Amino acid sequence: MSKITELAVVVEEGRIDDVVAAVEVALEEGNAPMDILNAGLIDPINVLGEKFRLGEVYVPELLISSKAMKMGVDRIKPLLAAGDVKVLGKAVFCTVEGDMHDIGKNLVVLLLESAGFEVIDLGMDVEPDDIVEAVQENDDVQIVGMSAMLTTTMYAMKETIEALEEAGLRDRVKVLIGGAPVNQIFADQIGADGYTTNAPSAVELCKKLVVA
Amino acid sequence: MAIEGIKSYYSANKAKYTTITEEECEVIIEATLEIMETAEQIIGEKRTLEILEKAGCPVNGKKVTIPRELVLKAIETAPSSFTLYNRNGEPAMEIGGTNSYFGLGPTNPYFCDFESEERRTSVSDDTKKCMIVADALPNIDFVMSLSGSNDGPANNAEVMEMKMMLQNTTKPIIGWGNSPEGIAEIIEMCGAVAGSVEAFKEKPFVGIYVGDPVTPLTHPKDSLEKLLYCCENNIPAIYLSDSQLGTLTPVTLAGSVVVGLAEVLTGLVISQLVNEGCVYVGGVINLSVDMKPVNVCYGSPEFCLGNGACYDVLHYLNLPIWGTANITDSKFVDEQAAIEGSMTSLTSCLNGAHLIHDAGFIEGAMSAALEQIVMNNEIISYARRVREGMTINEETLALDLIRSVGAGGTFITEMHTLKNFRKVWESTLFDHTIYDPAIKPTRMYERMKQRVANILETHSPEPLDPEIVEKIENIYKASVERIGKNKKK
Repeated sequence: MSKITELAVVVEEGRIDDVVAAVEVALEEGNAPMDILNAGLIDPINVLGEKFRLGEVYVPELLISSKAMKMGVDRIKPLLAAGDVKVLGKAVFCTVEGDMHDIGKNLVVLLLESAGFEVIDLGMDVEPDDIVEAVQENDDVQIVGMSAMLTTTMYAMKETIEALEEAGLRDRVKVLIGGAPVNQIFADQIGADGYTTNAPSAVELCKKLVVA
Repeated sequence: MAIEGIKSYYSANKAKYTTITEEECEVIIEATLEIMETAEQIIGEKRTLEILEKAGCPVNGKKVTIPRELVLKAIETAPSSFTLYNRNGEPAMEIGGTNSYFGLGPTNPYFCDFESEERRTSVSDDTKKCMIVADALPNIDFVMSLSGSNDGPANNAEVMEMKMMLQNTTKPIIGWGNSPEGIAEIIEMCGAVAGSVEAFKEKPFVGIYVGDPVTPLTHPKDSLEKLLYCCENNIPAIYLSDSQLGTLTPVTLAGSVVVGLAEVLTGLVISQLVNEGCVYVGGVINLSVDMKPVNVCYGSPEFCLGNGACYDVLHYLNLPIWGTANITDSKFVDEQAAIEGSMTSLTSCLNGAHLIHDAGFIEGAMSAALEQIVMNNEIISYARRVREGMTINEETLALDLIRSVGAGGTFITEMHTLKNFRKVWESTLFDHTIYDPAIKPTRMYERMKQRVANILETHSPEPLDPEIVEKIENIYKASVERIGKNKKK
């Protein structure tokens, strides 16, 4: 087995303690950093993504392998030329004002990052103005993602969309919402561009939104 | 290994069934005290932080650790039992020991319409209908609103829901609050019913579910504000932690239970520091997580086990227990709802949890159905009969009778049978008939639907005096004005 294939196995099995050493072994073997990146780190994540789609792999397995991949990418990054690591898109994510339930948002962020997105995570209990500011400061942001867990905080999503409109930024970004009390009807009501019920499908939606 | 400074009530409160042993309770309690002392918890409310710091908790910004002496003292000073009354001021529930009472679930955004059977946004009239159904059913001991009032302002929906509950049942009520202001209005309503707020507090028929910690180990501002308000005003307060295996807590049940208990005992410490001796009810829901889409699962075996371990520990500590059962993840009142409801009802009741909420819920607490209340009532009745057990004595052994009836005889004409046969559990919904080609058999769901229809048609809960109703309506009007003013600010 080539050292790149061994690295791919390490990533697929989510062995985070072994991944950096496996990258180094692959480098010592004389492999090009780009080949290690593509065949050793990214390919196994794509394989897992397909297995996930088929229901053979669950979210924790996907996340731990993504973590391993990121550690491998960090090790190899200094050896790559600028632009070698492709960014699929850029997003700002948060849990809205008044809400401290951020587990779902965190899952989406992790999965998006492993899918190749760059994500600015503003955390939880985030005021509309802070979201507007983040979009203003990063003119390459394409997606704004918001979550709420409570019926009392979900209206902060509407206020945020209004704040984006007032700031003249609404047309520049796609707005994605999620969380237990919201649904497609609510998303339509408040003028969001997208809604999904779970983290993996949020990633699929983001991919579609940045292509559109 | 007894724990120094804590008396074990495990045997005194020994339920029909325990999930963990006395020794295992001690391991869990020790671990919980260790976590409280060594893992920082976020306290999102300034005054609470000051109270904890003043009591001797090491504070680091918004984070605190809690010395075990404080926990031991709070366990000592918190009441181990209390009485909840009905709307007429008669004792209805003795919360303590291994007494188990069942009630509805709280506010939810959707409702399964009784007529169309379609999922739609819940409104205050749903609460009214839930109250009428719950009022009529003997095994629903207390109520919660079981539907959000989405037909009024969102920020005082709890006040609308209390208005509907007070007017449509005499059973004890557990309310909730958006804010201390909302809870104050609720208490004002209760005062109108009881004659005065003081009279209400003397014989409380309403407790308040103040909210949840945000697991792991975070106590948000709004929950704490409401907790402080209830404790300071001597209103029974309920604080419930939600453990989720592998996402918010360790995936292993023992660790998950420790996180939940650490949060709940933190609430207990706060309650006793604010008002020593005030009533505090704690609980932990342990949800397993379906890791394919990462959705929580109510009614799983781990739900029964994790909750059960918490019931055992709280019995050991002799504290009032908030329990959970009857809820289903199913979108319908169907076979899944029946299985999940049966298992969770039976285990929580055998395990002796005190206030067991969530009857009527479907879709993981996002929706509810009147038929589900009827089904849960039946399940609870069954579970209670199992818990009651059997008696063995001369009368029940009936040896003389066995001899006198003898081989080939029948017992159906015997006085002993006549005297005792009505003690055998009887279902109000099951079909035990023999197949008759002339009669079209019905499914249980149809019979549950019929039962709901009958109740709605024939049952009228005891009305409130029109003057009291007027007072309640006026309090609600003032509440709506308050919300309007807050919005303008």
